[in-house]
Amino acid sequence: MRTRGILSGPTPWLVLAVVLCGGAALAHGDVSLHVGQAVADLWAGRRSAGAIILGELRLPRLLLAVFVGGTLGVSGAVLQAYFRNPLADSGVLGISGGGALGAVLVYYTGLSARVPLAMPGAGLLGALGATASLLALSGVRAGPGLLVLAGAALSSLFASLLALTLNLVPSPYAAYEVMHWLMGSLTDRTLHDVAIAAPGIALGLALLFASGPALDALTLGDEVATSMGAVRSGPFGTQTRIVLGVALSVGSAVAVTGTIGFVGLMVPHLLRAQTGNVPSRLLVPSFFGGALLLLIADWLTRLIGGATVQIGVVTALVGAPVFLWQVLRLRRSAL
Amino acid sequence: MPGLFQPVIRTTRSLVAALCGLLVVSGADARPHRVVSLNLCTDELVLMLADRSDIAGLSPLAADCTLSVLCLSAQGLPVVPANGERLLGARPDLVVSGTFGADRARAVAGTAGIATLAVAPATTLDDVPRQITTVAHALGQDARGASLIAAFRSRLRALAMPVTNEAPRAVMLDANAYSAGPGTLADSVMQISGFRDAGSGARLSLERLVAEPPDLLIRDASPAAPSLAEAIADHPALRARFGRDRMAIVPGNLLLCALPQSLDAVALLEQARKALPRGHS
Repeated sequence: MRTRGILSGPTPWLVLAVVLCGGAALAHGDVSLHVGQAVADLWAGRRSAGAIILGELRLPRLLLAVFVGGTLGVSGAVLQAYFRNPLADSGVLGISGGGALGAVLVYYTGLSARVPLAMPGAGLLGALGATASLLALSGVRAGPGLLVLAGAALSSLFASLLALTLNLVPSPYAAYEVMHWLMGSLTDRTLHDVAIAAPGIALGLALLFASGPALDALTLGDEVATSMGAVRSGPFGTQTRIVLGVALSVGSAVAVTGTIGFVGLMVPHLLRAQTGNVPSRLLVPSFFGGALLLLIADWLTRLIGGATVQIGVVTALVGAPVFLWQVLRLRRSAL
Repeated sequence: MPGLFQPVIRTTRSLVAALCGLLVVSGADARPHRVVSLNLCTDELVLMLADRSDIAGLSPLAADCTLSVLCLSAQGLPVVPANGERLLGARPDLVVSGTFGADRARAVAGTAGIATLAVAPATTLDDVPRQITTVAHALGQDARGASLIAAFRSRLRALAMPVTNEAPRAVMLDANAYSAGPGTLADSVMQISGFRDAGSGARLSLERLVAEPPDLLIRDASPAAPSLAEAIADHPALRARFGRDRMAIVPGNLLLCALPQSLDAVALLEQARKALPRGHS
């Protein structure tokens, strides 16, 4: 039944769109390229210009768009189901901001150059700290307003700590890099960045996908969920799995690309109706929906202004209206 | 140009001499004895030209070895940031600065009747003798300036290479993938080393740099303090495309200010030119 749900839902169409947009992202760029020749060179290990452009410049950008977008989409879907709050998203709740702050602290002090995996590790710790603060401030069953308010306060706290850090570290360029960390960017990233983010994203997504059945049970209410065996608390309970899964995947993603807002808010919202309002059925489509959104946003940044437009600017321009529409809907249902 | 500053300095110097006339022991010795510099490039000129005992303060950048070629000699000298209060506190009799920046501090020095000298920034190696002459004269060290200029000119003559239409093309990769271009000191250094500057001053697309590579890519040494802006020079795509023999490392402090030491950058580029593989030289 689960398999049929995935095949009959929006997933096949989203996968098709991701493949097409991904192919277009590999084929088009600043210079025109004979893609067939470049792939052949890459396959044969020849260091031709085409092979370098495809393998070292376009491929890391594509992989990051897919996996970071997917991470943000899935984490948004999980957070919305877990908090039963359509405004929940790793960006709105300050979890992305915490992760970015952690990554900034180890990158600019030179720690990440000496300690392997320090970047995703610090991203994980920052995101965990943010989630713990959020739960302590608002609680799991807070109303939508309280949760988002606590998240907004945490977001701006982390953003100002991040800016302060960039002002205090020794590199004279650091202070100008606040935009990368607050608005996100896929420009000139490397395969090394992909390798840094991959383990945390894979492990985190595995934890989030595994929490699907528990999320379904939670829609029936806490008591029913507990009686069905979907245990919420305890060190190995649903809460631990979700918090760790979000912190691992989002922390690793923002450590490489900076915070990219509104993806986790928008994607589950747009796909929820197509998945019959069953949280577990929303997870896989949200991965591909997030990937598709970042691929399109990245293409738009290149279309608008070359390397200087941050990708988070584009996602915010599209996502903020969706967020505002959600706010209006909440207000109407509250009346 | 030096004539322009002369009257200002003379007037103020006589004023200072009149005010603390008793302190000036020998009437023949009229050079400033408490010189403060507010700008990295004038810091380095003052360090080369003034007596060490005459230096009352340098900018905070003078002792930073990633920026200053004379950082070691700057150590142990007082640091004066470019704000009026700290500047007056250093009791200068001559304030040397650039023509840009530190406007407020310079105005305060002017109001307090302290001699000021603003040195226009140099964008080519041809400006080096003019700057040295101006600063040396204000410091009362004309002879030292003249010998520094003579040494600079003879080294420049020995190093200069002609730029022909077949000369190799070079791009200087700055932070955030910007290229140096016309009107920069790096451009002047490239031309004197016999390279055509293929940079435009605009931000470079790495894809385009790989697809249409110059013969030589010039980059700064790896910085001690990490930043995304400078990490671009370590991008694997550039390493794969240019390899070791088509990438030259020129420490950034040689190209920040036009100084006799900037000829070290010319020497480095000529070494790199000799090492270029066949078909690129």
